[in-house]
Amino acid sequence: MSETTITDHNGVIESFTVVHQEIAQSLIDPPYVLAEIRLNDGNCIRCVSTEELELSIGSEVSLTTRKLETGSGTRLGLVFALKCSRNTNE
Amino acid sequence: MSKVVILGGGLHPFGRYPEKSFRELTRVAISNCLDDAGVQFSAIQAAFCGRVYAPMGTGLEVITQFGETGIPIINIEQACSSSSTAFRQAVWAIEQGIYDLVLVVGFEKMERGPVEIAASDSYDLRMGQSLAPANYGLKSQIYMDRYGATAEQFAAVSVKSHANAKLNPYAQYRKEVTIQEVMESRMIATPITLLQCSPTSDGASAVILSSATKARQYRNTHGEVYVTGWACGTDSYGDDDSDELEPCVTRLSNELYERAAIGPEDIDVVQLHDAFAPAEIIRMEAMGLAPEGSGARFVSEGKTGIDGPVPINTDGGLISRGHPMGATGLAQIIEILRQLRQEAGPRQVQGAPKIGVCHNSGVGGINMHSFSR
Repeated sequence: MSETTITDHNGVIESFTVVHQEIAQSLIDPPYVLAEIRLNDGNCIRCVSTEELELSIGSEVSLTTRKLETGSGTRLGLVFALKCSRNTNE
Repeated sequence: MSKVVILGGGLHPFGRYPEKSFRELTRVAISNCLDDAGVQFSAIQAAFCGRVYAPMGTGLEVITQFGETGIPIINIEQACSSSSTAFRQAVWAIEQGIYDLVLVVGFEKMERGPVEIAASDSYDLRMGQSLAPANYGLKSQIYMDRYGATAEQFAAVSVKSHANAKLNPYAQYRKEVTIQEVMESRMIATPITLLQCSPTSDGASAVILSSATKARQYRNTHGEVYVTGWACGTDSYGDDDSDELEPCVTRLSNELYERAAIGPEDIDVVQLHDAFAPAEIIRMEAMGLAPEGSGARFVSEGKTGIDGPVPINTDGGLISRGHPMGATGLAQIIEILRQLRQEAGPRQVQGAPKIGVCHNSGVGGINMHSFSR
């Protein structure tokens, strides 16, 4: 088994889908975006976003961690945001 | 190696049968299979059982209702490809001369709602990344972006499947639908709507295999159908980096074609794992049945219909025939058996099909088989 270290949290959307189906035990409420992201360091990762995003394949995004309520505490999860929208929010 | 013949096949209709037990479902399928093959249960030398959600050892219960004859009974769980795995194991056993008359059974009873493919409390599950149609949604978006396909073209797969299932008395949904109805059904994961998803189902399927030598002992008014090739495998390192959307299907198709000494142009009828409508388009291209980027057009132009040059999922496929996970792989094989024997009734492919291929995919791997008359 190999481990991969992410060295760059920025990348581009390779594909995405908007999930509308609720999943039992999931901490993410639909609708949300599930994306495959090619990071600038070459790694490929699946990640979600609950923001309303205007995405297209090739959109530049960045990863960040978010605290999610589990019912018995919090858990860190990796989410993504559009690079430009995150900058706007900042 | 011994050549392997399919002596017969039988089904319990697919649908929702909460009142029926595994024994009841399989009793019908196995009885139909024994009748079709003209074989007495007492002659069966081994049984291979594919199932997913049944309790441990259920194969013993469903097989021994026909008699405690002391045969080995093997239980196999391989997600959606469980019964095609059981079939392959039986083929190998006959090819190697271990047995020459084997029963293969698939059965399932499923709860309503989405099938969970991630481990309980796993990160993927908690983070909403484990929904099966979402996996297909991701591939669909790439396909649309790359080849200009439309959501309506994906919906056309479901329209075709439902039209075929209407002709199949064993199908779960025997009702035609329109493109508009498919498009307006509940969105699951873009661009996939509810009517493009295979349902959860109950059902059972059974097949009897024999060596070609043994087959001579049985009446065979149907004409012999041979298993001519197999290929099985799982994703490998590098697949994620491939430009292909289904590199494993391409790899296994090539293995199958080489083993069976056929090419995709020789195939007369196809059963393909359409758990979600776009999968049929993407996988038919991976199998070489349509040029890259043309699968969506093939479907919308009717080329994959029963009367088309590449008939796919003539029984309604997973989407409309139903998808009782442990029974699906054998149901696909039984449809090919019916087509090659020219016993498919109103959904019969014309021109006396000679070569059929099955592709069955599961979380546990992919199985492909080829057959000839």
